[in-house]
Amino acid sequence: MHTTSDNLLTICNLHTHFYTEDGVVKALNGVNLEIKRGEVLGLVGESGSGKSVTALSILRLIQDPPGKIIQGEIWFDGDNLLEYPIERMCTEVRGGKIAMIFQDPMTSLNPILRVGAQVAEAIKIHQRVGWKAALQRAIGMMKRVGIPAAEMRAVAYPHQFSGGMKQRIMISMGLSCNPQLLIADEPTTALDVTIQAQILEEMKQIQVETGASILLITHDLGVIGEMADRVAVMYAGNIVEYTAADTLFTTPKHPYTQGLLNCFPEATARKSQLEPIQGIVPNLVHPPTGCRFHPRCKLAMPVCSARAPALQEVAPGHQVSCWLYEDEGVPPANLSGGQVS
Amino acid sequence: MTSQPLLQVRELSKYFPVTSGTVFTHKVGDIKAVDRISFDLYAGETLGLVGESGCGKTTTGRVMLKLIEPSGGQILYNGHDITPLNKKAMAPLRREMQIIFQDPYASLNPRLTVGEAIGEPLVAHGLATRAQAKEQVLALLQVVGLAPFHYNRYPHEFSGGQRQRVGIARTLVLHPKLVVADEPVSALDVSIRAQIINLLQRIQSEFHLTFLFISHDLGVVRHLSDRVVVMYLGRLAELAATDQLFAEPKHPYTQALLSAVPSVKQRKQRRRLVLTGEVPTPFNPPQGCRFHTRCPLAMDICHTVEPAWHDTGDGHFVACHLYT
Repeated sequence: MHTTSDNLLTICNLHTHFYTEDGVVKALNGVNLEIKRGEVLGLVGESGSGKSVTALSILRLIQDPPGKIIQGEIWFDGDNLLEYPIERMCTEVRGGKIAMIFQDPMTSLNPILRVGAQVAEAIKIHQRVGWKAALQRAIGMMKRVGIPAAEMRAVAYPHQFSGGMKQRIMISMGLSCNPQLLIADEPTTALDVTIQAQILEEMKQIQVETGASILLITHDLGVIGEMADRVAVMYAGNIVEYTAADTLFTTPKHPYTQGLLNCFPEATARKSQLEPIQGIVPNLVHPPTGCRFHPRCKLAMPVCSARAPALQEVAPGHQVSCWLYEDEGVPPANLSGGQVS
Repeated sequence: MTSQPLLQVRELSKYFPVTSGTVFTHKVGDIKAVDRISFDLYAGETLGLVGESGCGKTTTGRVMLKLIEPSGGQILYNGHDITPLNKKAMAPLRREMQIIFQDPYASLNPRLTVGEAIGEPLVAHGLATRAQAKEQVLALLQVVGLAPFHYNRYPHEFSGGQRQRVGIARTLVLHPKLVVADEPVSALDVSIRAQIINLLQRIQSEFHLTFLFISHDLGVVRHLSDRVVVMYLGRLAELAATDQLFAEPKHPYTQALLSAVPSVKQRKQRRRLVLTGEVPTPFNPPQGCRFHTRCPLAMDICHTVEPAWHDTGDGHFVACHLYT
C-alpha cells in the first residue's frame, strides 16, 4: 500500500537524530521522498541540510552511536528496509540492489588493493560467481565507464589513477551488480569541470542503458539542471520543495529555493549585487520553532515561527512546505503531516 | 577604470625542480608550473584567472606578488621592475599587495583572537602598536559585516563565511592597492558565497582595489571580472573582456571549458563540447601547443610549433594556430 508500481523507493516521515555531546542533532525531521523507477531525482541543499544523512539512512549506514533512525519507513520494492535484519542489508541491498557512489574518490578506494580486485569483490559477493568470472565482469564494467585499456589498468593501484579515473572506478563498482537504485553523493564535486562533464555524460548514458533510478545528491544547481528529472530541495532536515526540474528553475515556490537560485551569479546581470539569503544555516541541536527557514525568510509571517508547514501539493506534481501557499493546496494523500518541530 | 597598468607581467616563469635519488640527489627535470606568461593588470579592474586544477593559477598569483621567486621573466609594478628586489626592498611594496586565501579554516592562526589576527599586519609593518591597531580593526570589522564583539573571539568560534570575512578584513587593514584573491569563495556554501561575492564587490569600490581573481568557477568569474584570462598547463590560452570571452571564445580550450559548465539557465538546450582525455602532466608537457592532445581542431602544425601569444584586436589575446 505504501508503494505503487512506479515508485521504486518511498521514504515516509523519516527522522534521524545524532546524540552528541552538545545535545541531540535533529538531522532529519520528517523527510518524505519518492523515487520513481528509471528517474533521476536530484536532492539539493547546502551543507548540513541532511542530504547525505538521507542517503546513509536509506542504506542504514548511519553510525550508531551517535546516530539513530528514530522514526519512519523506507519502502524499497515492497519491503520496509528498516525492518530488514542487518545481515540482509549487507548481503542483498548494499552494493547489490542499491549502490552508492561517494563524494571523494580519493579516500573511498582501498589504497593497497588493485582496482580490478576492488570492483570484482562486490561482483563476487553479490552475484555468487568465481573470482575469475568476477574479474572479467569487473574489467567489462570498467570499459563501459570509459577507462581506456581496462585489462591493463585493472592491475594498477588507486594512486596510479587521476581523480576523474578514480571516480569512474567508483561508478563501475556501483554499477557492477546492476543496482535498481544508484545513490550518487556529490559524485563530481571534487572534479574539474571538463572531467565533470565527461562523468555526467557517462552517468546519463548508463542510466538510459540500464534503466536504474539515480538519487543524485549535490549542492550545485547546475548539475541538477543538467541531470535531474525531478528535484527535492532540502533545508535543515526537511524537504521544502519537490517538483519537476524544469518547474524548479522557472517557477520556484519556496522562498528558500528562490533565494538559492538568486545566489547563482549567472542568473543576474554582471557586476550587480546578488541577493543572498541572509544569515546562516541553523544549528540543528536547537532548530528554530515552526518553519525552520523562518529566521532567514524575507516573507516570514507570525504563523511561520509558531507551526511547521506541511508538504502540500500546490500544482500537479509540485509540492511545497510553506505557509504562503496554504490556501492553494491540499496535503497529498499519503504524505500528510509528517513534520514535527 | 583607468588605462594605466598597475602590474605588468612579462614572460614570467616558475619552474619547480624535480629531483631523484635519496643519497646522490640529482635534478631530473622541471615542473613548469608557470611558463613564460605575459599580461597586464590595469588599476581598478578585476582580472579573472580561470583554469583547471594544476594549470598554474595559484602559482601565478604567488609568483606575481613575489611570495615565491620567479624562475624567469619580469614583473613591473607601477612601471618599476620589482623582479630583482630582495625581501627588505620589497617590504614597503608588500603593504600594497595582499592575498586572500581559499581556505578560511587553514589561513587563520587558531591561537590569535580574530582582532589580533586582523591587526597583526599593522604591527608587523611597524605602522601601529597593538593598542593603536585596535581602533582600525574595529572599524574594519564593521566594513566586512562583523560586529565589534567578534574582536576577542577565536577563529574556531566562526563559521566558514565569517572566517572568510576575517580574511578579507586582514587583507584590507594595510589599505592595499593590489589584491590577489585565490579561490576566495570556493569553500563556501551557495548562500554564503553570494554574501561574500557582494562583499568583495563593495570593498573593491570602497577601497579602490585592483583584483586578480583566481577561480575555477566560471559563473563567479563572469560575474565579478572586467577581463578574464584562461590558463592551460602553465601557459595562457586566451585573454579578453569578460562579455567578449563568454560570447565569442576563440581558443578551442576556452570553448570546451565554457560548454562544460553545467548551467541553470540553458537547461538541455545546447550541444556540449566534451573534451576527451585529461590534462597532461606539466613535468613532461606535450610538444608544440600544449592543448593539441585534447584539441578537437588540432592541425599538423600544432604538434610541433608552439603558438604565439598575440593580440587579435581589441585586446583579445589568444595563443592558437587557428588565428595566425
